[in-house]
Amino acid sequence: MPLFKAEKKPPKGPAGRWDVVVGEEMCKACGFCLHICPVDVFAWRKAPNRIGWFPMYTAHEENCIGCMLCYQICPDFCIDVSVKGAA
Amino acid sequence: MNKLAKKYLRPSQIPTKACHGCGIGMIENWLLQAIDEMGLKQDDVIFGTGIGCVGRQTFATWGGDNFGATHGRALAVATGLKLAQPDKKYLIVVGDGDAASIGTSHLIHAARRNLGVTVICEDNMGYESTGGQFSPTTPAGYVTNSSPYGMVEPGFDPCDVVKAAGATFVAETTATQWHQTVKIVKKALANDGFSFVHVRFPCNENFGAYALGTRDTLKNLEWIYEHTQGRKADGTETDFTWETGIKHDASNSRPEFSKVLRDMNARVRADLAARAGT
Repeated sequence: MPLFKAEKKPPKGPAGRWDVVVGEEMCKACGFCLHICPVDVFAWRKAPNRIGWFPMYTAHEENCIGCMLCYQICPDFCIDVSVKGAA
Repeated sequence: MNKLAKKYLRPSQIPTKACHGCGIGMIENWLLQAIDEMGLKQDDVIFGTGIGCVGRQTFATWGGDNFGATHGRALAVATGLKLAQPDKKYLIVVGDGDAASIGTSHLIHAARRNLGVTVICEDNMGYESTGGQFSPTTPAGYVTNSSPYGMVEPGFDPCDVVKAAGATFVAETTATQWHQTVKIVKKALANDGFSFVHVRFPCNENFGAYALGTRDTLKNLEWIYEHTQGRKADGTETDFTWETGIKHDASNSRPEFSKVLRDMNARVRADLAARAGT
């Protein structure tokens, strides 16, 4: 069983309750979040950021199931996942 | 920036200095989670680093007190600091060059004394910041910049060395075991004695490029995952497997070095005062 699974699952359960924020100005485009996400939340930007990488952004926040895998695997402290409405 | 980075790190050090897809940032994020779950503040922890990829990236990122020592000498500086301020927690984040090659004797003797610090050895299996030369933890047979026909020397396991030297907590994880690493670092910080945690992580720019033939971040992290599990994605066995988990846990079983030294100091002072009185 690979770490990065090719197929994405349809979101279920408590999907849509999560606020996913990507710090795009500090993203170095390693792609870990895109590939570890089981439900397809992230996508590539078409324009580079200030440090020259094409960063990730939250394309489908409504899919997020709050598994926190992207938060754990991000090497650049970019991603923050919290419950919507919480400060 | 995530919540814990805002709470504990210096904003001027983000974006990090590491190459893209480097595992050092991940491991630092897990260290912050362990510190946060233990309820420690910035002032409670002193963060020390050495030289190399790990030293460069983690240097001056911690918002509280921190220091950058010369190559391999982080534990020598930490020994002095621990004797001066025994109440703080010490998190010494070093690489495989610092811990397993130039600083091995400092590591062994800190473990022998049971110095109350937590050493996190972040191991990228080579000297990657100087171009990807092999180190004592490079797996045998793998090609690096300085071993174009494969690493001829056998590697060694720093966990066995510090365990033999008398460390009271020894554990090993890899960069694909986030929950295990957070739990293990919490146990290591709770131990009043020498704790050693060995974490392997991927290097894309040098180890990945020379040994694995790719700079693809996903393939390099997948390689670490496969060698943690001992099994490839197609079900076949890998050429070797890292034994991860807690390897030795004798937390709080031996007196801590700064306490022993302070007790002796008090004894000698009392003895001298008694002699002066007679």
